[in-house]
Amino acid sequence: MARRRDLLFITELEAAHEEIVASDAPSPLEHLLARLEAGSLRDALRSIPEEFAEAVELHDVHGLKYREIAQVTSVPMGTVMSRISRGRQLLAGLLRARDDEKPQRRVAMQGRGE
Amino acid sequence: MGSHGRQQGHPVTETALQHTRLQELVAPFADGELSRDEKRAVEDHLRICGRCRCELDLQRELSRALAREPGPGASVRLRRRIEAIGERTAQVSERAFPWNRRWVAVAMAALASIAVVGTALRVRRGGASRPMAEIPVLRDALADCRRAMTRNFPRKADLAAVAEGLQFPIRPLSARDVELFSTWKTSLAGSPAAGLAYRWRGIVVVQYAVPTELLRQQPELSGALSHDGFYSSSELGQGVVAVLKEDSGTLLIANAPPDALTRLIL
Repeated sequence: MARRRDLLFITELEAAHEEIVASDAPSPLEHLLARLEAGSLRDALRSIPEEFAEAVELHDVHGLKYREIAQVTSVPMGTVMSRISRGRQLLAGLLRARDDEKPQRRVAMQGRGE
Repeated sequence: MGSHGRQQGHPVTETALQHTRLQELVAPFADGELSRDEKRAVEDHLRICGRCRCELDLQRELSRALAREPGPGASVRLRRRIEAIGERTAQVSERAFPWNRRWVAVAMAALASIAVVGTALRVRRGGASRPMAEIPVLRDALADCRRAMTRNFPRKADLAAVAEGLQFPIRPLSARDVELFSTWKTSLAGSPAAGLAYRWRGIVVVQYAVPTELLRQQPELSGALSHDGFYSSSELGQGVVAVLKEDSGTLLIANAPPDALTRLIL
């Protein structure tokens, strides 16, 4: 049951990410990031699947290179690449999805359904 | 769009194929992890693909924002995972230092980069940090530590007893090679606190669990805490580290370099 929830959740994040990149806009996350509380971005990593969060955290927070992450997590380089790429995409999708939920935008979202 | 004038195939189809292959490389491109040839291929593709340009901005923005955020490094979950890896690759007996040497080099490099950033920021804020004896909570902690050491520490370790009556949680060190052997109640800068003593690699490490306000109230500490996620200093071989979690503060004191101490609580 939990698994199915996870899959639906990830699909939602992927859809939100898709919306962001389909816009073709430069600096697509600028406004979202500006509205965030300090420290909440690293915290948001906890809401995406662990293998992605871990790869992103090791690279962006701890400054490890891809090769080092591959060593520490015992996976091939290609996997590290796709986990970092996808991890950041899911994180972006999460930021976007959460931003959509905020009160001032809820009026525009009426009729979306629970 | 994308008329490369190659031998076969409709130009649009070819571009679409390239896109599928190259969009996977946008993240490593942003992180400087591609070979020269791969880099060139991505650059060529970016010229004609707005979606990938957007994706590149997204990857860079998040990467920078995460790097910039204040707060100590590893999440508990991640730290446990790294420790589990160290355990798996250990080739030495239980008693000896349990981490694989290569992993230690990697972890130290990560922690060193955190420490270096911390140092750079402190220097930028204008000169040497104040001597610890002038910061009340540290002065009291060092004095309490000395007192406990001369009395050979209380003979028992009872977390429940010291936690009783405290308005904040105690977060004992959870690294694999520390051993808690003594706990006591005390008071630092007028605030109730808990002292915990551990054995670690042949030395004693003292931890003080304190309320968050106590650390935040000290201007010397709060600056470093909000910029780097931790405060660290050392005098005459004694290292001190202060860290803030959401609901409690921690001080660590030991005859060890602060970089080694941050490893215990990051």
